[in-house]
Amino acid sequence: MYSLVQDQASARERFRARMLMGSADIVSPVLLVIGIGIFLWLAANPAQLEALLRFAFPGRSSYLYERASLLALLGEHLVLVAVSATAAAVFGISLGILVTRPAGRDFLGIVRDLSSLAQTFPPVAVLALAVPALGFGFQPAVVALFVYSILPVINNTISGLVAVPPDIVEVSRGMGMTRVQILFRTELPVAARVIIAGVRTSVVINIGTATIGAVVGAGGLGAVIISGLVRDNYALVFTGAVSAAVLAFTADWCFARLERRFYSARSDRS
Amino acid sequence: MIEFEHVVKDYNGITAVDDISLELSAGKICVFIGPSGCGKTTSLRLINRMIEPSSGTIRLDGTPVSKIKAEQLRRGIGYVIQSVGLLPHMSVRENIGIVPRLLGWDRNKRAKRADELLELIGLAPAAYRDKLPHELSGGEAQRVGVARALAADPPVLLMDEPFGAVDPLGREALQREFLSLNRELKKTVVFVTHDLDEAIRLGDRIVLMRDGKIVQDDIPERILGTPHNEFVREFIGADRALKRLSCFTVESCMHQAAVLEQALLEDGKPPADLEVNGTGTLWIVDAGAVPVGMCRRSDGKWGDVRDVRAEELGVKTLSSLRDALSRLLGRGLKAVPVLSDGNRLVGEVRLTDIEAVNQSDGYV
Ligand SMILES: Nc1ncnc2c1ncn2[C@@H]1O[C@H](COP(=O)(O)OP(=O)(O)O)[C@@H](O)[C@H]1O
Ligand SMILES: [Mg+2]
Repeated sequence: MYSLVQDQASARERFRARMLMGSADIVSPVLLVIGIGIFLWLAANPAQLEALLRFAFPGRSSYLYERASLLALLGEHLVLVAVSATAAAVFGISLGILVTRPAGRDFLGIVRDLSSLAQTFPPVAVLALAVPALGFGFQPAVVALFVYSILPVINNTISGLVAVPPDIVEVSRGMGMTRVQILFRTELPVAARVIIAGVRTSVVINIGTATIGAVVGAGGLGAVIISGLVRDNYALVFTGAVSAAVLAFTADWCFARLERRFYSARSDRS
Repeated sequence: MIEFEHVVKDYNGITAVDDISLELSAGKICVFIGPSGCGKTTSLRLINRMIEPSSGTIRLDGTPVSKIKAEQLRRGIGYVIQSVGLLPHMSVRENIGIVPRLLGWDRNKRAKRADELLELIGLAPAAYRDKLPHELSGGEAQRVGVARALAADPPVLLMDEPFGAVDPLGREALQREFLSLNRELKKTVVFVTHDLDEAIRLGDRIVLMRDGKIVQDDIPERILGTPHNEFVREFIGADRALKRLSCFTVESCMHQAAVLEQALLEDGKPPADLEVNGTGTLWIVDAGAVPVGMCRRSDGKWGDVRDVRAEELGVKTLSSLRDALSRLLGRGLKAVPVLSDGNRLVGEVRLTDIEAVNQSDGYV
């Protein structure tokens, strides 16, 4: 009964993956560094930032978020993302490994179905549900982000490990590897690229979703956006949105690079 | 030496191996053959404890394998499967180094051993050691698979249809190479195949199985010459006389060849007073002893010298008599040259030799 849901989820993921790969990979490191440099310079020099925004959005009453500097918000955002995404990666990969071991195989189907199903929930809904359950502040936002960004990691870890050709595992066992050696020397290296792709999706979604964390008082770049929305000030909305986008793009670019260092089943078939 | 003692393997009701007792002698190639599903693979995997028997004992040099820790046992036994299973993320050198690494060899020793083995299987180390498996052809991957199994120099080699996925031409080359390799290495080999020609070519001994039982366990000549029952006869097929020729290498019955160096031809002909025995064939060779022409003597006179291309006409010392026969008939010749590595002439094999072998067992 979940097959349709799964199809949709995987189609969505494929689409997202294509969009992201298409964007991140074509940018050269030089361009990326220049872009980040300009962005950070503006963030550190409010006067210049204000001048730029005044030019782009003429006739506003204010152009800068008063309660915190952009750099501080960026820092908050990064902490939020780093904590929740790292926890999600560690937990997601571990769970994916567990359910693909002989002892955990019984749970493979249900974990897979649940994570596919859960991924079709919009992230806003997850956060909305987390508020009544966990209240306001940094912690509930981290928990909500963790829950949502764990799904692509689990999915990809399972897909990656299940796709390891059985004869390779067989022959690894036949050469005298222990179970742990088979996992670390054969299965994980072969699945690494798919797993990292999952972490990449997870982190990028996380960075975007974390802006909604401001709703529950977790701070970060979302604070600027929401403040702008409340005051009908698009200069602020723009500042927050572009900052989050730069962050997401940079993370995506780094993971794209990392992925390429690992073995890919696709290059096998060439 | 490997012993099977009343070994049974049950899979919920299906008896894959049904009370097998066997003794496989050290340094020989023993081939398990039989129709699909007869229990060959199961028997093989019982030896390195990939699966455990339902009852019975398997001994390796007298020690029951169940007494040896499974991982330790497997590190001491080479294992090759049909799909090769090279780890796709590792270079050829790393693949060959897997078992040595498990055994704790240092990096230098592993690298040296990998180069040694690449040399042995005829792949230039400099060109191949850093390649990834997907950059290899099917035949090369199979060779690397064999090299990997040999890496820690195990006394026993288990091979489950190792050349099954390679095209027929490539397979013959692999078989020939493996045969000459094992003449040197003298491993105890258990080889599973469903290809009778392969079994005959490689086996010192053939164990023919059906429904988990051994039907006939014999040397190849006797499996073909005196099949125990109708099943064996049918399995071998109607062309068993021809197949039997595959049991014999050219080396085992070749004759000395009459040879003349090219430089000694007089006006393009051999000296008129030169006499040769046998089929009256004289091989003209170049300074490197590679045949370049041939000449027949009949009625006390030499015919014209015909140009020959050594690699097209000749057979190798380890080729089968069947190969030789097909060349003889194909060219309408009375004898074909036998070549060593580098195409040097070492003898000739004659049509009469093949007839003699065929009659030696008293059936046609
Ligand atoms: N893991 C297994 N579970 C159940 N039956 C099996 C298993 N492995 C093999 N068998 C059965 O055991 C029999 C022998 O199999 P196998 O040894 O693989 O045959 P062969 O290698 O000669 O083709 C077959 O009938 C096969 O279906
Ligand atoms: Mg089999």
